[in-house]
Amino acid sequence: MKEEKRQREEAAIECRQVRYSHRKKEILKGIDFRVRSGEITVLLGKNGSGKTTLFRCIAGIRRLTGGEVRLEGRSLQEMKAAERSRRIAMMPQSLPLLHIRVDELVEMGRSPYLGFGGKLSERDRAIVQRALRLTDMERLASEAVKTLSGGERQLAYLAMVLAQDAKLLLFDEPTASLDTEYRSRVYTILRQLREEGYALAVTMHDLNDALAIADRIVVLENGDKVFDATAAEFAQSDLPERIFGQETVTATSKRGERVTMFRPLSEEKESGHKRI
Amino acid sequence: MKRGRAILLLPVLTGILAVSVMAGFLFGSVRFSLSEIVSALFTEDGDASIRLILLQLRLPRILAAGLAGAGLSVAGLLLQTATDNDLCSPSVMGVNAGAGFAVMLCMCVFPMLHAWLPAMAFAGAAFTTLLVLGMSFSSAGRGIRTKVILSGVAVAALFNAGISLLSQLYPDVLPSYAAFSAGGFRDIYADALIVPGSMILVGILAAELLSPKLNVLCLGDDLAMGLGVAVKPLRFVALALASALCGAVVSFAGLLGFVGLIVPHMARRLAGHDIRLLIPVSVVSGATLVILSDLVARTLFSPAELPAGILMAALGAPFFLYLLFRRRRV
Repeated sequence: MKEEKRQREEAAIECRQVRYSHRKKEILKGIDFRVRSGEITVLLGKNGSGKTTLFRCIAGIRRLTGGEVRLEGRSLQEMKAAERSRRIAMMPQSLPLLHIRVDELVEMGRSPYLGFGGKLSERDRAIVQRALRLTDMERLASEAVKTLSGGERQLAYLAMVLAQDAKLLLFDEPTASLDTEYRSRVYTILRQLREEGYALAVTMHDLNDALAIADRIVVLENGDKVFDATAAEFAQSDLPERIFGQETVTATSKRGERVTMFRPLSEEKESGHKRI
Repeated sequence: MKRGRAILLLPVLTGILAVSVMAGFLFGSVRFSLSEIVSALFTEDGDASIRLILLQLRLPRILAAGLAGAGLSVAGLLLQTATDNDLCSPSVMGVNAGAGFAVMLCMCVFPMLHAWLPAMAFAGAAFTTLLVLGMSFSSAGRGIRTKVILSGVAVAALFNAGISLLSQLYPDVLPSYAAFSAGGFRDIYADALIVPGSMILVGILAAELLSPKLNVLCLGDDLAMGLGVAVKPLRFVALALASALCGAVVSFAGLLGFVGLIVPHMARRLAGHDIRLLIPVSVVSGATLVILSDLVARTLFSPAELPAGILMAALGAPFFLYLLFRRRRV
């Protein structure tokens, strides 16, 4: 009981029996979900399982049809939009190609803090510069967003989200269309943010990436939460096989380290890896 | 766009506007020299007839053209931003057709209310906007940006059909309606500009105050809402402001086409995509464009006059095509 209370206090955000319906279709069916400070929580689930909708509900983009989202002990529904967006930042999947420059895009991340005139203070400018530096986008600050490569664009929007200076960050498939180099850069930034005490929630489809980056893994299936535990526990469960059609294998790397990874079930016969 | 260039741009454009205003005073069916103008305006023994022409005829006309250009340009910019569609303009929203139908109806059915034609034009523009916005925002689901345009096109088709029907039933009013639909600044008096002029100035100021939030709309709904922007109400306010600006302009300038479509494009090429800067650039460029068009329209075949709207369409359409097909540079 005491442990549960301690965990709740640590939770940056807590969803209690969150429900969302659209045109009589129930998309989220009462989800309990927590994201804690200094942790990366990865949300897994097939397309249509409700991951993005859950993020939209948390970020206040969709209005809940039931349940409650509490942020640092306060109900999200009680907060004004600007206050909410100073505490929660979300990077959606689709990022528009814009004519504006990268630094102009990142400055938009300060919108929740600006008055009617929209003038940036010295503090706003310092936060924008920090976000550009952290994502290594300083060198491309004067480039138009639409001229960037896919990976650079992802980092530019990541900088914008960081400029929002919120302690809870939601990333909806941030590496879906990236090559290995940019994936690795994004994950390095996410890990750094975790070390700085941010609470991070990330949706993704790649189980190996999830295993590499997650402290906790939450699995959604048809709008229900079917799993919520550590990454190691996820690897040992039957979920990778039952929901994602992937088996867990252990292998020895060239450096002699034992690694756990996932691979599609169809590859089973082609290799001699030991099945857990 | 580079910030240094942005700082230079507005003074340069304002200088061009000042030259256009001067030209508007100097040229017309009767030409005056600069010394005649100075003498008439600033000395006791100046020519009273010149002063009358300058203050009673040319000044209201220049003011009307400037206000119309500024108002329609900002209206076009607001419409394009709120719908995220560069081809959106007052005519696409059906505002012009609505105002035109109201004027035609007034001319045909209530000819004794001729003095109320500007008010009817404004009422028609406002009613059309409310109708289009009501249809677009009341229906559930996504795609409001598309719904606004499709509703606008449908409503415009309906009002145009109404205009055609009335023109069949009352062929006598066609010449008067033709002058209104062509758009222009003939017979404008300063008194007629007080109410619409105030509305245009307030509308432009309100748009400038909203501009930091409007900038965020380009990010798409999810990101904009994540940044604390109430996207739907903001779109509604922007579209309502645009319609108030259009209605105010239509009430004294008739159906002046192309300004609301072209000027925001010109402004973006000059000033980039920051709406905080685009609004003043659109105001100055729009005012200059319409003042110059009106000047050409009243001097080209002097003493005869063309409606400025016809000239704007003749110049604007090829210019727009040029913009469209020129290779884009960022």
